[in-house]
Amino acid sequence: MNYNKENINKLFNDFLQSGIHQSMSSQFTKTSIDCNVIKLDDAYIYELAIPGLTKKDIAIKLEENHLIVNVHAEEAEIEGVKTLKKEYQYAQSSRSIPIPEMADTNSIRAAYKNGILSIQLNVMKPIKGTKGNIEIK
Amino acid sequence: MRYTHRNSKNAFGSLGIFHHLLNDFFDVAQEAEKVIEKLPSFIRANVAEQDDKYLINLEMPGIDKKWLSLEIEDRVLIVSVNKPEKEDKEQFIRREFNYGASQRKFKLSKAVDTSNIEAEMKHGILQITLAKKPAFVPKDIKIK
Repeated sequence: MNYNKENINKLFNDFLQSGIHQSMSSQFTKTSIDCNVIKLDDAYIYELAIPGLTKKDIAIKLEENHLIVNVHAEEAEIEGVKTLKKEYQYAQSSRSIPIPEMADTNSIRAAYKNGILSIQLNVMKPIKGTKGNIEIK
Repeated sequence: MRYTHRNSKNAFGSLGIFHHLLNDFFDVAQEAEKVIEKLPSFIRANVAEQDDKYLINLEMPGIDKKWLSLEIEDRVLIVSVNKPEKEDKEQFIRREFNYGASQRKFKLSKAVDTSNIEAEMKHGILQITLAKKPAFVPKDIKIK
């Protein structure tokens, strides 16, 4: 490797951009979407933190065993506004959420409020106590 | 209980979106072993400047404005969030964000008029508008 100033700077910058520095660094623009999962008796609630959007910027797609949330927001260039620091940017981001096998996909409900996208999904209870003899013919 | 460092999720650096696709593997059967992060989230800010003001946009999804406090002390703007414990009673099986008890401070430049600061909460973003002091107009002083 060429040990010139540019490469050394890049090494340090890459290091600073990784591991423990990354999420605390204000030099890094976070584009990944964080997700909390809450378990209720018979349902799961997925909360995605995507503030500053409107419903039309978000698209949720149901796949076989996961949900894909895509954010596609128009970034209006406003005259005379100069960006000094950008620590978060969710305008073009996405997140894939695995869903449990026992999920009832017809029960999906989603709402966007206070910057949180909440997706509720009912989970079918396993059929318990099926006892009985099976006749052998 | 297994602990993974919160930041190990970011090992892929700029491939931010992809690390979630690769690392997500939760399985209902493994719920009991799930890592539950209670570390308060770092409140990220986007700062912009216009001719007559500065704008600070802070992300605080799910935060009610009554849990927020904005203070100014010696040209330092302090934004604090204090979500009461009882609001957090849900059963989390995965927690990647937690804006319950966080604080962020901003050192304001001399150009800011600290008596003219406004804040508005919309869609989980707190927008703080800091007016700049009017430009200094040089005056000629007459000599009597």
